[in-house]
Amino acid sequence: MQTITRRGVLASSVTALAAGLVGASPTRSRAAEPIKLGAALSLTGRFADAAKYCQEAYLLWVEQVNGKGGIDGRPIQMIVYDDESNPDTGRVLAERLIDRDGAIAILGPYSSPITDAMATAAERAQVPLIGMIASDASIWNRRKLRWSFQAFPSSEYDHEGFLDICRQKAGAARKLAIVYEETPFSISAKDWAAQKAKEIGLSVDAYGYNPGAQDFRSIVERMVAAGSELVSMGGYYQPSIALTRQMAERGFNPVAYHFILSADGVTKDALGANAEGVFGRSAWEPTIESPANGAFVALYKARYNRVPSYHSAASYAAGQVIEAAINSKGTDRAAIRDFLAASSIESVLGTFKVNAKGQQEGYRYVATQWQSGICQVVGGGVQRPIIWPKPKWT
Amino acid sequence: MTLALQLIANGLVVGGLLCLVALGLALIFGVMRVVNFAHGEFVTLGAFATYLLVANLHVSPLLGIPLAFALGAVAGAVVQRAIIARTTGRPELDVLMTTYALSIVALGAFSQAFGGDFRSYAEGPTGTLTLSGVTIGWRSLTVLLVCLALGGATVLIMRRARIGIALRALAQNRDAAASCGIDVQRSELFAFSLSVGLAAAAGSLVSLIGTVTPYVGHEWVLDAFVVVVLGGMGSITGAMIAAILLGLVHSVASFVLDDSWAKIVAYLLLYAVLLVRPQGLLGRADG
Repeated sequence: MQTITRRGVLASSVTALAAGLVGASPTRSRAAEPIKLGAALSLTGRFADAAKYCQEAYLLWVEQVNGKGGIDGRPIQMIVYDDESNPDTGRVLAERLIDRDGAIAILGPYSSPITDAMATAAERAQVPLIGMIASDASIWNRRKLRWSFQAFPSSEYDHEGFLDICRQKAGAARKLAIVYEETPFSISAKDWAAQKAKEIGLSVDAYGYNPGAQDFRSIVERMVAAGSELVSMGGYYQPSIALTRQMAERGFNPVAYHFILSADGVTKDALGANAEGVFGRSAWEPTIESPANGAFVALYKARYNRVPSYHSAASYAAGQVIEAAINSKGTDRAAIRDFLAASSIESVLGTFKVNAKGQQEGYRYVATQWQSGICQVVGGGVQRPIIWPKPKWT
Repeated sequence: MTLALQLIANGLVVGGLLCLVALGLALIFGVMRVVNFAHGEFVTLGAFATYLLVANLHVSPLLGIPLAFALGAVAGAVVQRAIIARTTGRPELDVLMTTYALSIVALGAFSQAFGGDFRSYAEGPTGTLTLSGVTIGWRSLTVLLVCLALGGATVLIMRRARIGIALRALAQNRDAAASCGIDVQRSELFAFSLSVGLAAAAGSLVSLIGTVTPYVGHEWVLDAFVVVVLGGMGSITGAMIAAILLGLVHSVASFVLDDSWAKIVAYLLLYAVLLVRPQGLLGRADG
């Protein structure tokens, strides 16, 4: 049986205390009852690094809202527990947040598996859940969810930005290889991309690999044998780096190469000069020009003295979305649910808008490319030259 | 022909690494009858040691290989003396649970110390070598050569050195070896220390061609267990042959079929061998 850890309770207390302190605005009545929101974050375990950035953004958002006097004079109280990077713990914590703490809504955890587990509890209890960093489309595809909403671009569109660039630049290069992991999110992204690639006149070969695989040499040989010219890798970071290195070691130089997580800053550490010209996709970049984004980046830098990551942006956006819902509908869970299902809400990530399944349709990924050691947003409406073809591996 | 040679070269790199990890497992089991579930965490130790060396001192990761080996050997000696030696004579399940617990503790310690993020470095050998149409990167070639050197040295020690003969005697009959004057405690300490040193060196090589996370050793050790069973529990030569065989089978099967089928073929091979030779390729039949 899962139990709540002391660490989790400690985290909760600290966060609630922080929220309470910043909520003690002079404009607020002493009697104003706080609006309770719940969250589980991976404060420990394998997702701990990323979840730390989520927590920072939550605190920043709570500070902002409570600094303005809360919503309708009521401060926000954010209750955060440690899910220990474990989906089962996340589900138990969701039940605790709903049943014991009385949270009116849950802001999603970091990662798709934990969101998936928490959605089960949210649906059962009929409490709105905003999956702030859950890209896996299969969470919403394989079952009918009424109370859980995706606030992150869907994984189905992982390859979209790269394919758009291929459409413009590929010329005679028509052979696309999609490398994908044999997991639901990667398979659905591959299926979507294969269809889209055929529509723009590319021939597609798809190569699956087992989760956790580190040896891609045979896949590289198959791509060499097939004469692949464009390569798009739709897996996690670790296998993507392994594939890239093994392509370089084999001397296999495709015309263009994309791996979905390449926008992560550690790509440069891992690949060095070989990162040049590699495409990626990003849910959010600090350089995206919009007034809301600029204000958020400035606020975050002032508070934490560094540029926010996409984890922070997505978490702050989740706060903005629930703020809009409570502003409009108060604290009634069903009314908040209906509002989230039907509204277009501006956030730092873009315009939050879900389809009938609850999947995010309002914003998608932007394409990125490593240029002179900097990960730049390219394609779409951005007027930045694209490096094409990819420089040969060094 | 070139393609076949290329697939063989690819398979040898993976097989070499598997060999290094499995050698230690086989040695520990052969000499001490201990199934070391914590072996993967020593691979992780070597990977992190090399990563930290490169990231902080900006030196070649090749220096990390002997460092990881030495660090692993010391860590192995400490663990053997402090924990494993105390389980001598206890039921097999107790020993199994001890190494399992050690694995969980070490995994937790790595996660706490380094978080779950992937770490990697670009330093180290670059470029490729092409011979008769077969291309292999210098990083992979380094891995292959180091595996060959360490594997060969281990075999030499086991066949020629006094301590190796003592370990073989212990593996055959512990009581008889002890009655012949072999210092069992010292021999076991050496076996465990060498095994963990090999695992840490393998971790250093893994960091050269892959990424480093607290789980990196865990991923390799599962396949290494298959190698040990396939080669024959406790057989050093058997483990080496099985590792190379498995690397080649994976390379060819994932080219001809795909990656998922390669896993299936590898396990089918294991079942087929165990059906014909339940003791594994070079294991000794009970009784």
